[in-house]
Amino acid sequence: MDLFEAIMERRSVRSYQGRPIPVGDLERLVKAAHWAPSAGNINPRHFVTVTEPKIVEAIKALSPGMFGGPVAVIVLCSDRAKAEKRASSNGYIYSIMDVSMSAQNLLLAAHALGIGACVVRSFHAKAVGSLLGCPEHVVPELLVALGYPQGNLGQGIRPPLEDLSHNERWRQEGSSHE
Amino acid sequence: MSSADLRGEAHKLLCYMATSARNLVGEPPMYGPFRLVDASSRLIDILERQGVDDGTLTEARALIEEKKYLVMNDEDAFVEFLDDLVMLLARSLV
Ligand SMILES: Cc1cc2nc3c(=O)[nH]c(=O)nc-3n(C[C@H](O)[C@H](O)[C@H](O)COP(=O)(O)O)c2cc1C
Repeated sequence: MDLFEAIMERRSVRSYQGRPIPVGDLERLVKAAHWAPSAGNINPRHFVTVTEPKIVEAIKALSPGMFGGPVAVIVLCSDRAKAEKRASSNGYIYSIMDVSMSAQNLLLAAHALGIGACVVRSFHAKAVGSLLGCPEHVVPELLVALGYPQGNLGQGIRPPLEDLSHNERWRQEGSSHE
Repeated sequence: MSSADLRGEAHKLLCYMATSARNLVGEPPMYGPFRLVDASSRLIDILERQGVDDGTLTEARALIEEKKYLVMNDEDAFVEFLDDLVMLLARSLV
């Protein structure tokens, strides 16, 4: 699959078939996430893959932003202690950025494998961390719900790029683009 | 559905509602109405599995599932859908 096509075609998938995802494919997704860039190469990320239906259900109950019946959830966590030790006050923001980079890799890799995915930030981090037995300094930052898509992918709506893209310097309202 | 199953389903819905309440403190204001209609849809699911089969509720859930994601792309259309949902439910009140 062409990378640019994958970027344009990928959509958040919130409705899934019940068919399980092969373990090898889940491992490939985690590997794609792991190989994302890392600020200062600190690598404070951890990945918890959950496929046991009871635990997936429990995560869903604590995640108002999770829809449909995903068959797997990958929990992207950051080791805040490690990040803060290496990057002091920037540690928090570095870890969030690292996790975001990992998530995008994961979403594109899932799309390439025909797996639907949706990142979820609307969840209770402390409750999910406790459910998974994460140590206190390891914080679940983002969830990725996974499953083979059910029905059509969404439309993908974005504001016009002309309004948001600037060349050389910030374009003033009313001035021409070039 | 056994009473243990019902309790389990209700527990999950309560977790969802409590987490929503907590998270809405810092989320976009429009997520409030979104969570409430989503909770309504989940409640209709439970009622249906409990054997409470009602045409209006099923219709309401179908409308919610069709329109709830408008909140992300078209807030005016989302508010219009909320009006339609209330009118649909109100019609069978008495
Ligand atoms: C940081 C972040 C958090 C998100 N959290 C949620 C969420 O909790 N639930 C959800 O359904 N979608 C969530 N999304 C997905 C967005 O709603 C989605 O990307 C956006 O509407 C654009 O749609 P598309 O991904 O199909 O292009 C999140 C996206 C990002 C980047």
